[in-house]
Amino acid sequence: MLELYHWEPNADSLALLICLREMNLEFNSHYVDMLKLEQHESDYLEKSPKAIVPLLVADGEPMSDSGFALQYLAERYSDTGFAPTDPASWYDLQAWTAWLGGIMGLSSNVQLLGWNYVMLKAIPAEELTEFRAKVDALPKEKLSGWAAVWSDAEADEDQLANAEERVQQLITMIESTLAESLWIVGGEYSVVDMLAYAHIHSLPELTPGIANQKSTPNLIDWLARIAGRPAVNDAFALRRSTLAPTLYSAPGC
Amino acid sequence: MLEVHTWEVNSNSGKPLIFLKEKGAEFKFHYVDVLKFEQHQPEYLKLNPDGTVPTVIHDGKVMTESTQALQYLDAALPGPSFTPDDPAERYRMRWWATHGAAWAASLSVLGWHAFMGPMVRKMGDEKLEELLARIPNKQRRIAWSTAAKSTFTEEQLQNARDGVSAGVQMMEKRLNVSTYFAGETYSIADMVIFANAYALPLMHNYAASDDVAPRFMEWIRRIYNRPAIAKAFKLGRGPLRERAEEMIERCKGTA
Repeated sequence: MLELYHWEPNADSLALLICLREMNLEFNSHYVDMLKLEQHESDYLEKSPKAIVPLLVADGEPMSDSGFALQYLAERYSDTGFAPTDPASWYDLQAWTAWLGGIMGLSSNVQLLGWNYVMLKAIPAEELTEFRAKVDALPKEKLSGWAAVWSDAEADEDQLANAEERVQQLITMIESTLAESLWIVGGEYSVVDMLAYAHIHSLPELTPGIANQKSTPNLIDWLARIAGRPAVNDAFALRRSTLAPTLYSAPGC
Repeated sequence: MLEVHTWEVNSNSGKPLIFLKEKGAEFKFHYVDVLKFEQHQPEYLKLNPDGTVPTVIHDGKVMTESTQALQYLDAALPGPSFTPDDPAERYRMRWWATHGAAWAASLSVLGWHAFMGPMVRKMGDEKLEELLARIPNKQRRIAWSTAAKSTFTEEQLQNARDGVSAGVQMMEKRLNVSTYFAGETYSIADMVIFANAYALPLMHNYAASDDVAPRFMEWIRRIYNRPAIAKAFKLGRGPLRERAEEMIERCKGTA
């Protein structure tokens, strides 16, 4: 049985939820509340020592890299047809996965913007103070990736401007790809569309200057095509948080 | 038709050279002299607008992500396979090829400080500034400028040494469990990590020695004894090749 430890249906958690629904695979869903910092509790750290959420456990293997976990699912369940089989398109799928993830990629920058533009306003002040006190009490080495940035204060103007610039670059790349083809690789809907959608779906609201009908019409159409899929609807149905329902983003996934 | 534009058997540059010698594939090798910033020249940028090495071109397919390009070549070319069949093992191969070599960012700081920085500064400040100004991507321009001028503090250098030690210990832990990174068979993950790690026992023995990392040392000796590795290093020129050949001699018959 597949086990998925995930937070709200957003970012990497959303990508894996969509993928499992699209492939019609049964899995045990374990909700990890990142705003309660449950990912830093000892029983979770045993499974994912770097406190990374989501975590897919498959064939006994804990998979904390969501991009590679999606590739695993695409290969393990290849009969579901959510990845191209020719080597050249598979290269494109892998290259896009690398461009979307990683510290210089889209996901960490969108999270930084989501946290600063939306979450800091949506979370009641008292809860935020409590949250920060908890984060500050964690040992620094336990804070994976960008959580270190968020531990003491909001990002400064420079960080936000850099993040917007980086998001802009990647959205421009995706827009020009979608101008040629309905989907990101190989002319068909694949796990890389799921991954990209999970990180991009909030951008028309989060950064309307970057993603909008006028400057990125193909991206907007692509978002709508994916949003209309029943599996995506099913994934969103797992929402629990009432905070900024379409825009939440947590520190340090 | 297979063409590889790359530098020495070192870090990302080295990955396709090692892989193609292992695969036994014929290819056209175009040497790009990174110390002369040839990867930022207009002719190269036409091929690869980001100005990174390597660039691999197979039957018109242009690939600039090196680890992913190896997986493409493994599937597209005839010869022995270096990708496990089992999907979970493939996950591990990809995980190690990416996260298992992340410590190489620390190694790069030390490499620029000790070797690359002094080499490129021989060209003089004016020429260096001119070449740095050509780098297409802003983040990369800043990184190259810091590296080329070696403006690292002692604290940054010590953090980098600590980063290398931690990286070797992470690999040591894995190699206590399995013979190679993905499992019991030699895969692309081993080639990617070796391309970054090959000089550690010579240059950074505080991190990589039989005393502190015996499994890692066994692994590296095993790889140095592979015939394809010697063939790959023969494609190099100058000091990087010399130090690798010293390691090949030292490791002969030890694994």
